[in-house]
Amino acid sequence: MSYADTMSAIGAKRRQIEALRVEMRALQSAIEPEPVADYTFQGWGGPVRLSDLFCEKNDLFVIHNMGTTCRYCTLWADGFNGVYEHLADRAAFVLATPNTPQVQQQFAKSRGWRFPMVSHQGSSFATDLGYRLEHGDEVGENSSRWVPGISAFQRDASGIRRVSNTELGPYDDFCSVWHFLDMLPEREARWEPKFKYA
Amino acid sequence: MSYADTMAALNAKRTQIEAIQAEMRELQAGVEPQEVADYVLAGWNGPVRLSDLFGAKRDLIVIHNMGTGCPACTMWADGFNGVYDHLAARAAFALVSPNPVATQKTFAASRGWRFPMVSYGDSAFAEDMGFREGGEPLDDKLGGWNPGVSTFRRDGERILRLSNAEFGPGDDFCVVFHLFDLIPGADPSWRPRYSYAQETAQ
Repeated sequence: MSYADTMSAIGAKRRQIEALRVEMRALQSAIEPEPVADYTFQGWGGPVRLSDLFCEKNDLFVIHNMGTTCRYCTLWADGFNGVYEHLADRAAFVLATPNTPQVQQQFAKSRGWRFPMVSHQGSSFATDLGYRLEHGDEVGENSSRWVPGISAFQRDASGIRRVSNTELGPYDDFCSVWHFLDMLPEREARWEPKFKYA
Repeated sequence: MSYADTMAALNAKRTQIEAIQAEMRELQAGVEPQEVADYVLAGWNGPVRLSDLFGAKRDLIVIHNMGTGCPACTMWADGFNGVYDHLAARAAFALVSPNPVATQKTFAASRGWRFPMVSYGDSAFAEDMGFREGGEPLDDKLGGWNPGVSTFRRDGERILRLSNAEFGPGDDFCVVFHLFDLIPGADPSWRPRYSYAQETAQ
């Protein structure tokens, strides 16, 4: 198909997706939030509660990151780092991983991450919220049983409630890289993220 | 609707989006690429050709940025800066804006941007690629410029455009609005700004 006709056809598909997003917002606005406990994490300065992570905001994003062994989770986090100030203006934003705070601090420094991080090691936070598989290899903090995603929380006088959650993966709404790759069709090789490319 | 039912309904919509994305890939695979001229743009060290922007890569991603007058374009670029190393491993990546090179240098330093930038200069690149509508003066103002992305591939001596897309809230190229969509009743009046520290201090 000609360039102009192809772009027009792809543009029509994008509008279909936009219409679905309108429906998703309507669904999201009618949700009955899910009460959650005030979990205790290992913060970089000692124990910290989920309620503490809100700081002065009423909304909180927690990224369920699989830790330092996941190149994909690291790519997503690099992207969040780029827009961190923009996100933090609207809601508190914290990345939670199974790594210890010491490991987190070293890794965050190596990547230039500026967002707050907490460790959910020793807490049932990830399991309770659906970010740990019941079956799979068990190799400590590097377990393949962790699942990557996002949970959004709100708080008021009655407590903390989860208002949404989703998994993360290639071509989702939370990493732009895959959508650029879709505009550069590549048949011979499958691109995969790495920690470093040098 | 209950939390579980809402999540199931949202995931069904996401599955529909994935199916549409698969159709988009089919369309993209069948595109007749558009041959484009080897435009001369204003680089940070003097004139630079579109062909130069490829470096050692076969493919090139060009961001059509509206310049320092656009806080939204700036937020999109902040996001690209976060994943720049990943993008640069797959394709050359350059951000082009109507600002003069000196303005670009100052602004990039202020934001910590690491990706290459070039100025449209007095080229017809933006117009020809469909990212300039009006006849506004070529300065830092927003008039006439449009934000988006074009992707190119080298084919011998030829440069082919493979695809392009406009940028806007809720698109595939900025994650911020998709995170905000997870909050019911999210303030629809939220707009990106260059800096948020000022208001906190007031």
